[in-house]
Amino acid sequence: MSVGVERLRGRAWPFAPGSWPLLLSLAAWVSMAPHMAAALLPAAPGPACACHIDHTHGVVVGPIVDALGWARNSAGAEALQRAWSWVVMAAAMMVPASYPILRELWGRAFPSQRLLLVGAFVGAFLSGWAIPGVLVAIPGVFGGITGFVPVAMLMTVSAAWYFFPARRWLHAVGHRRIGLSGRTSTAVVQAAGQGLLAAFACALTCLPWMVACAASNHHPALMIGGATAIGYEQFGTQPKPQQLAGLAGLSLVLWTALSALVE
Amino acid sequence: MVATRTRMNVWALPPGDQTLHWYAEAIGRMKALPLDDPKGLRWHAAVHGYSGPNRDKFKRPGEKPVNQALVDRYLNKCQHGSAFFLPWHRQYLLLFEETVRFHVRAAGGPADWALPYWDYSERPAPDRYPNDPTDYWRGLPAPFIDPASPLYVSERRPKANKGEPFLSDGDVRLRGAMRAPTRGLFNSFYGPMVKNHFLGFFGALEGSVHNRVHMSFGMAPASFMFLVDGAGMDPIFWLHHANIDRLWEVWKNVDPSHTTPSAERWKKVQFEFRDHSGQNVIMAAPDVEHLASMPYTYQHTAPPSSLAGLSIRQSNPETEVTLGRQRGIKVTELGVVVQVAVVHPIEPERPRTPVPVGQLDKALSLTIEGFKTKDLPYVFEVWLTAVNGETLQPPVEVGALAPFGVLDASAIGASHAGCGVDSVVDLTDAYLNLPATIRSPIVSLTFHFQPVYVPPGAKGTGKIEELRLVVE
Repeated sequence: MSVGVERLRGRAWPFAPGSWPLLLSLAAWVSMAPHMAAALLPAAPGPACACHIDHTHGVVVGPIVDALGWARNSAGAEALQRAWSWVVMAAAMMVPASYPILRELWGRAFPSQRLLLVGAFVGAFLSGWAIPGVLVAIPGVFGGITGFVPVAMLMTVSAAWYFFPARRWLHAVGHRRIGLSGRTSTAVVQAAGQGLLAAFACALTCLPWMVACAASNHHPALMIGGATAIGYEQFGTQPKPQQLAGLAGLSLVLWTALSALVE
Repeated sequence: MVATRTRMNVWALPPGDQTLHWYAEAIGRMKALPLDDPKGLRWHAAVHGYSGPNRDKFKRPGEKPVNQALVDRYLNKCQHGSAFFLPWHRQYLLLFEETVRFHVRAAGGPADWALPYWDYSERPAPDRYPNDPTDYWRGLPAPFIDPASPLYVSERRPKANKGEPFLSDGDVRLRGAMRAPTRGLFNSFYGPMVKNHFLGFFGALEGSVHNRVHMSFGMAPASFMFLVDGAGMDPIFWLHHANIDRLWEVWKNVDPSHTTPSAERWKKVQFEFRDHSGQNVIMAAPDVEHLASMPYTYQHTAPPSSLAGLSIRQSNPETEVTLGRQRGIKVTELGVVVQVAVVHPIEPERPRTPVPVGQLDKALSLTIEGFKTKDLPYVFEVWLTAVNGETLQPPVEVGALAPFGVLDASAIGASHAGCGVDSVVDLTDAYLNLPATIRSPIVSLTFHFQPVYVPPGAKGTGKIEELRLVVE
């Protein structure tokens, strides 16, 4: 007699178990696509593009913030927009990188706890990523970082950072396993703790590139380049630091060339 | 490729055979070479492990450290807790064998010299010592315990160097590994499809026979075989790994479902080596996955009679279910007793009836996750001692936690960030052999982790992050 595990799989979901948070990433990429496309178009009189997204503040305005419509001209709103755009960017670029942890968490959880624990992990992961987003949102601090020189410096730091053993160690820390309790309430806290740990380790390994993305007004060359580097590092065959650093350099060159073309 | 040489069981070498004589001759020459010479023994040992506090073991007075570029490129590259454990070590062994043959030829030996393997699991056939009352094949062959031979190293536990059979039944038992499925999230023959030096669940063969034989040579720092960074300095290491390489083929011959992985990652991941002439060698798992494509073969690759009646596990990594778990377990030199409650009903139509009576067509496993220690690096035999709180008489030995590399894997500053080691014990047979009256329903299983090979007076502690009962 079969133990019946086949019936527990949840066959309705066509992808690997525990992969549903990737939809968040997809949604984030879709929501940012018009803005990124606009960055590739020449500046023209009137609205910058037809995506109904505010480009004037140098941030991506998510539909929720946009729908609120309150105090759009205040500094607080701009900070909120910057923080929101940071979280959307993190969801787009970083949630796929956490997939191995999600997959393992899904397997380790009792079936009745799976959605809850994966949700706790993702929620904590994005919350952890929001903390540097709040810093980015502070007007006059990171908000003032724009233009070629700061972005080029950040990308240079990104490229150099790949060669430090401390970065590889941080990457491993982000994948440390945390034991799960049999009690659901405790297990939720532990899954959230793992999400925070993964977010902080991830943020420290990728922060210069992510700030460069924000400073470049989420230019597709840096966003897609960054996502490629993260994916290559996570799922590739242990790329060498010089390969990842080369990718950072290539992204910078593309950003420079495309920006020059648009101007 | 047609095999040009045969790797023989070291215990079945015919009288007067010179294989070990030439091996000793070559090892003597290799030991004299500097660390950065790919023709030397120390180079080959450092390719396996060269990091952490044991790194200086390789350094000689007045010797310059190895060029860092060489270290980064070639040294400290062994694959453990990874599906690449077997292919990486096959290529590694092949290059070592070619280096030994280079030295054998230089010494006037045969051009077709082949590395023998050490079969410690089965009585040799033909048996050269039929009147020996001991399980002599679980000890070391004579040249390895002769202090005058280059094959001797003092860095072994005394019993090993006395020529006594020092490996236990549990150390060399093949059944658990030989029935492991090709695929599985936790319980599988190969282990996880990740390229790493030490991170992830041990595959079934690696986590059992491989690790236990390594660790049964005695504890660090007194034993080379115990250490990732030094195992290759003991000439028996290479015969042990030849046997592990052979057992890969034996496992394939056990059942048609035992194949090579089909994952894209298996095909794409590449490894870089340096041969004895200094040439670069790039390999991927498909280059070495079939024994028939190798330039050597083995004397015996058929499943031994001890594997008769083996029930084969079919596993699917999409269907694992956690039935129960226990976390934060402190282990001491006396071991630990842990009760794991089965809290998840695995048959939805029979809620709260945890494990059903009858056949189990999946593997039931105990995962041992994140074992970390700084001073308790011992093998722990795992015994099932009670079911539903009732003591089993006698208790059932279900496997072992053999944490080869745990000292490295517990170091916070190392590349694995102190994640510890992960292992799996297959409980399926133990479960099926329980009387039906006990088996239905099972609400708890009690395990005793009992350390073995603990030196007298030793003290220490370790921590298991989590134990889980898993069906997959």
